[in-house]
Amino acid sequence: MAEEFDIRSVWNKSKERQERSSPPLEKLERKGTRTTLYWIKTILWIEFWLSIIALPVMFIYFRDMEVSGWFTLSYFMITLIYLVYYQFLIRQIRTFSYDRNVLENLKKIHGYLRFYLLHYKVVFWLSLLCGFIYGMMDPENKDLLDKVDSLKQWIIMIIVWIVLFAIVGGLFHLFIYLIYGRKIKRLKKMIQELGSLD
Amino acid sequence: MSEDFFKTYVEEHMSIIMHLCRAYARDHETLKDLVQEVTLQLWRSHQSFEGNSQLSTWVYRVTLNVCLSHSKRLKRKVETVPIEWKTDAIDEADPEMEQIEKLYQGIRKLPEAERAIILLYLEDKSYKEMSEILGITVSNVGVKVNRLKEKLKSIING
Repeated sequence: MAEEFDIRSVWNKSKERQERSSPPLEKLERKGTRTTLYWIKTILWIEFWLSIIALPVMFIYFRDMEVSGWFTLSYFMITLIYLVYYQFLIRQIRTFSYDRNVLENLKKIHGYLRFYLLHYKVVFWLSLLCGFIYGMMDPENKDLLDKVDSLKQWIIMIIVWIVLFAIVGGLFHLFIYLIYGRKIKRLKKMIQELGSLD
Repeated sequence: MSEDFFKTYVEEHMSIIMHLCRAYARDHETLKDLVQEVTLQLWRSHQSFEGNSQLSTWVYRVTLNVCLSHSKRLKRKVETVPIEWKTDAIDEADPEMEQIEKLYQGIRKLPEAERAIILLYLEDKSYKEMSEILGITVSNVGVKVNRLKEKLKSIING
């Protein structure tokens, strides 16, 4: 049975048919691209503009809450550095060339995705930690902390914090996995398929 | 590479591009997306093409790279009819068409990277050129091609 089905001759027949119906270049519609890197670039642009929108919003918030000058300045400086960094990442994707060999190309995209994943993890946990420290420095919370005097109360409070961190962290990791994790897994599988003997 | 030469060259290779993309597309929309994306990426990279490899190697590389890095968002649409550029060209009683569809269904059942190897084999590429396109050693290409030919045949023959 295997001999009856000559895969190469069927493939060539398919090519003959396709040649009769291939569209000229002009007939191809110009629509948005859907490569993995394109979606990441879109996400980066959204984050870039959200960061820009957040700047005046946070400025008003900090002014109304009478947040200390050094904290406001630090926030703005970090955001500005991030905006430049986002532009660097976007440029990296925009200039990405698909003319490398397949294995090298897959490894490159895999490397990019892993880097973005690490970037999000660092930003998330740092933001959470900064938010937590900022929250603890708040006068209202400080009063609350002063009331905690027994070891038992401290232990309960620490457990509550750990649980909250775990829930928020878990949801974040799930969200990030849905965006990047599956793509990274798929790329890793393809790299293994190709490079298993190299 | 001049614009006119690029246009002529890509048009000459459109059938190959469509053929390769078809092995990664499950419906007409995805096929059109892939072909369009490949053309776009060829256009973007044609000016930086330095001639270090053959032009055909470049076309195969870009096409396979785009297909393998294409987002799978559209995969949820399950194609139940054969993919042809012109749908009115399908003749259900056509045994040749049936064989072609059987071959494509078999190819689509292979893992994505392995699909690239078998497609290059079907395109009659030498092991050396396959090695240049894929970035793996010539001996590895040989081992994989032999294994995949058998795998594909057993998928097709059930």
